[in-house]
Amino acid sequence: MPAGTHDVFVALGLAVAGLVFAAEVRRRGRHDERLWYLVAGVLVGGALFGRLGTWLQHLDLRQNATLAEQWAYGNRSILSGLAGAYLGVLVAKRLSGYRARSGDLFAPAIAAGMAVGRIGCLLTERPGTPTGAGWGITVDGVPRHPSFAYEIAFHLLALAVLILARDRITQPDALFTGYLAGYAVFRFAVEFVRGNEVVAAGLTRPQLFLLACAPLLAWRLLVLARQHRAGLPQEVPV
Amino acid sequence: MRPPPQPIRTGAVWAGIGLAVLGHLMCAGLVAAALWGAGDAADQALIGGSLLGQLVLFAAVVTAGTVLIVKGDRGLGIGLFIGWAAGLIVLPLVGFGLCVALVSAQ
Repeated sequence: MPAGTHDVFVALGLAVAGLVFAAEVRRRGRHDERLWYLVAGVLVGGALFGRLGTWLQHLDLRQNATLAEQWAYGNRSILSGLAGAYLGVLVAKRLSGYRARSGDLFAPAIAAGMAVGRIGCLLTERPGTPTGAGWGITVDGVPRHPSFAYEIAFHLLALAVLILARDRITQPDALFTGYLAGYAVFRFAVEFVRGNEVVAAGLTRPQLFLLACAPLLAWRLLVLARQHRAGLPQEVPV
Repeated sequence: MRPPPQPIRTGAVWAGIGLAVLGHLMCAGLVAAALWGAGDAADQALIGGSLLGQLVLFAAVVTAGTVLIVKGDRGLGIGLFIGWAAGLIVLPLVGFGLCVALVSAQ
């Protein structure tokens, strides 16, 4: 595939995510000019962390690339991009004074954008570990797990669930947190057939990153569950 | 007493996005143009020029964007940040590929 294929699908993914986000804002009637700040926060945080997130990947700091090398050649990471986008929204909310929960506005957009963007990965990157399954993609004579196709299927399924459940689950951020938790579990599992470098305890770097983030996600789920049981107000005033 | 800020105009946001994307494209174009004269040092020129261009663009966007958000047209300022980040995700790699293709063609 031509070198630009990946980027074309990333661009398409961004465009689709933007359209889905705008549609969700309209559908929920959440018109507020400060949402522009949140969009900027998502993109700036996601872009910076996605590009630099894999910088400090070795505990021995001498083994890590310089900042310039990382910027020019380093791996891009979806997981650190998501973490950066999350932080970006928190900063943007603080700066703009927007207090309402916003995760549920972003969740369908992220799922749709990732489904499209990952097509670029599927077409240009090594798909996964060798497999005997009939649906393997043959690369250099070896059938391999189409791990990016698995991920595309996950995001499409998640998008369908988010759309079907959005009118039933009204607790703020429940859909978004559920989506994040689902993706974390899925991504941890799919890493076993992704073919990324195993670095410690039989786990890859994305798996270790997910394990490090797991307590935060578990805490968030716990808070949501407590709020649900307590029957707290469904929407924080803006 | 400070007057209330003007509403954010969608058109201004898109204008800011366009300006930032244009900045990314200009960076890629300038680096590509510079490569034609770099000869054997093309590889170093590619990396150095690309990084320098992105650094200048980053500084310009952060400065202009922040000033606009605080004192001027907030939509334009926010658009600059959105366009810079979106361009960072998509365009530098395209520009990088363009430059590599140019070097290979020399």
